Amino acid sequence: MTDFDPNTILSLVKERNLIETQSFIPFFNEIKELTELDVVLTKNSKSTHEKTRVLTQDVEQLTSSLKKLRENISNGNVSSEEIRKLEDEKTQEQKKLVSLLEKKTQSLEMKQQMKTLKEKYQKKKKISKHLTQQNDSLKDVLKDKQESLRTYRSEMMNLQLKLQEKTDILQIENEANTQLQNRMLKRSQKIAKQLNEQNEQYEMKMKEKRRKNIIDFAVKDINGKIDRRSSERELRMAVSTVPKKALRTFEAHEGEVTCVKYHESGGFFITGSVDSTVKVWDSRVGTQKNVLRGATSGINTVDVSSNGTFVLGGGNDNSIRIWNLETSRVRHTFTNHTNKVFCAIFSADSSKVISAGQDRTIRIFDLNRGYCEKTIMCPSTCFSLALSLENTEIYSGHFNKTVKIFDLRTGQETVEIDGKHGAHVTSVELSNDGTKLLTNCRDSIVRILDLKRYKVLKEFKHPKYKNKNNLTRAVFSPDMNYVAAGGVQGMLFIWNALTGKIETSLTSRNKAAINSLDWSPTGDYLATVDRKKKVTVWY
Amino acid sequence: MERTIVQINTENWNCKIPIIINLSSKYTTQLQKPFRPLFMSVPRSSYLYFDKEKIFTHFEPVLKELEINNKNFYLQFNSEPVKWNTPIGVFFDMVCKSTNLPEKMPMSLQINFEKPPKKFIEFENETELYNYFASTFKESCFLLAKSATITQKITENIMANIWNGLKNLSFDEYKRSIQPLEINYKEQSSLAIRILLNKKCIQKTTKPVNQETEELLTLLDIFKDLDLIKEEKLVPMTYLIQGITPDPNTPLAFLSASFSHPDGFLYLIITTLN
Repeated sequence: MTDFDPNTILSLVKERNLIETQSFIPFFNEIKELTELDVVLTKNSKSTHEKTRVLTQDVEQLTSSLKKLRENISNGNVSSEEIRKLEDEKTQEQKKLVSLLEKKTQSLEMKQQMKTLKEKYQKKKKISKHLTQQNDSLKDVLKDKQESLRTYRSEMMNLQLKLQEKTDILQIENEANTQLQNRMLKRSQKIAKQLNEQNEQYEMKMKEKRRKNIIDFAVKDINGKIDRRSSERELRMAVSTVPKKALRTFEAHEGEVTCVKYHESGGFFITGSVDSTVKVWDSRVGTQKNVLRGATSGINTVDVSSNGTFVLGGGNDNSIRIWNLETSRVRHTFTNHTNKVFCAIFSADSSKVISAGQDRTIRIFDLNRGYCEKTIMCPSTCFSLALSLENTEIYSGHFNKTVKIFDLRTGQETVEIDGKHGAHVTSVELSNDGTKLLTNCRDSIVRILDLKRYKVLKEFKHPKYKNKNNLTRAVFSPDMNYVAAGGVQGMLFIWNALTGKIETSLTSRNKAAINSLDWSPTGDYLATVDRKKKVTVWY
Repeated sequence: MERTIVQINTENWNCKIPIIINLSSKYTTQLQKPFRPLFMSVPRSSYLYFDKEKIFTHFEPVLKELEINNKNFYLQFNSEPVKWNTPIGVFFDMVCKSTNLPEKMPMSLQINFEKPPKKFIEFENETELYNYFASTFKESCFLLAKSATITQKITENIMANIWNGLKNLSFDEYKRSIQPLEINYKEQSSLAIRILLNKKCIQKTTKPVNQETEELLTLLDIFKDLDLIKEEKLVPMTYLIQGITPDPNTPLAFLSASFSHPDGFLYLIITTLN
């Protein structure tokens, strides 16, 4: 390590540099100069070569021309042949010139042609551009139209689907329609059947009648006019017994039975029902004698004329129909009422019908002439009517708890009995002597009113007697000893008219509310009708 | 000592060797007139590849005359082809200076337009040479640290600056570009040395410090490793580092710092005389 000296190495390096680079520097400089000189010299030599060549050419030319001149001088003047030669050369040169000019003009023409062709070409280019533009616009139009076509097609599809749906619906509706038509057909067939039955019955009856007429005419001797009133009174003086039990109960109608009325003879009674039919029943045997059809709605009231030929029924179809019992045909139909008919009665001579209803009128119809004779306006709905013995006055029971008396001939209200009843008056019934009025009321109290002093004579009550129907009735027994009324739960109450005490209360087997009742003029039977379509005859 | 190292480095970078390039003998017989040779002074640390175009333009007229279509050429010294990727100084030392030829300078090379011999590496453009140079530089850095600590610091920018410094032959630029790598030869774990022993290349990595004695290793130690010392005497041989023969006792760290080529290796050229 002590032998190591960096400076010696540095000196070695410097020595190397001297030898290798610095000594050769002038050498390389000289080489540079020499190469430059060489380049310059080559250039110069080339140029001199060129110059000498040109000069030698000139020299040759000059020598040749000198020779020629010398020859010419020796020859003397220039010969004419040489002139012609020169002239030929001149013409040749001129021809050359002409041809050159022609070529020039040709080239100019060609250039012009080229120009025109170029212009044509450009014009055609413009036209083609224009055409391509038109083409593009047409393509756009075509696209639009195709799109619109597509939308139309889709719309058409939608509409077709809808149409299918609707046709399906239509099919279903058609089927339902046919079903309904079938049902209609069946119903009409049923009605036709019924009409046919009626017609047959009618024909049978006509036959019988004719037979009877012949027999009667042969047997009968003509009497005077019968005093019906006295016969009525006689009948009414028949002794009445308090019924003890229900003799029979039978289903009478297809709906609620609303009203019942005995004929004055006591041989038959009539019931009216919600099923818009009126039926005639034999009171002894209890069988159905007749069915009277024609009403279009439920029957509220029925009545029989005293001679037993006519039956009337009035109901919810605002009309009153009068049937001829023998022929079972509708004789009259009175549609003057504008609302439900609640009660209708025959006059004593069966020439008139007096009716009242919810339209707050009392109308009098003439049966001979077949029209409404009089209309009496009253302020309240009338539920029940009764005729006086002389057929001059009408007693009516109203919704506004009053009983009114109207004069038949004038149509004026003569008396209004107010304040006696606690609720609507549902029925009025005249006594045999015409002095007392039996009223039934919604406050479940049956009253007897005195018609001279217009006072309540007697009141009949029972804790279980409840009047819950606007059309219920209370009836006198034919001998005026008893009063009967029907209540809810099938209970029938009979009071002693003189004492005012309850005689009996009977209940039917089916505990349905009693709508109406009537005491047979023979005095022994009592018929009640109830809401469960049944008629009960008490004995 | 630092100053001497810098001085030595600057001297090394400024050193140039003279070269003469002639047409190879094949072509001279075919020519009408003898063609002018090319004289060049080439820096020791640099590569001949940078002057390739200059050589080609000088010899172009010959191609036309001799009707040669091949534009690639290679140079050779007698029969030894000049590799484009070895520093020209190394080649000169190996071929010329270590021999006992009478006329060593200028080194006369012959240009040959034929296909080069088989083991010759062809570079089609300068970027390929740059890539080769970059890979050798990274190799040397790896060997110096025995790990990738220095090579990790080499960015593309640094490499490009190093290459530009080499092209412009400016030691200052090269030194500035290398500074971020912080190479101190005494403190490195090993040194990168390439030994060209009788024209065969041996790559060695030795530690700068002997760990037992904590003395700096010298050239003698390398010679010992190469069996060049017999009976405590050096075998008859010539050894050159960048054209000079330093004392065998010079420490390797000093030599690496002063005489390393731009590609990071210390080239030691040994030719035994037997």
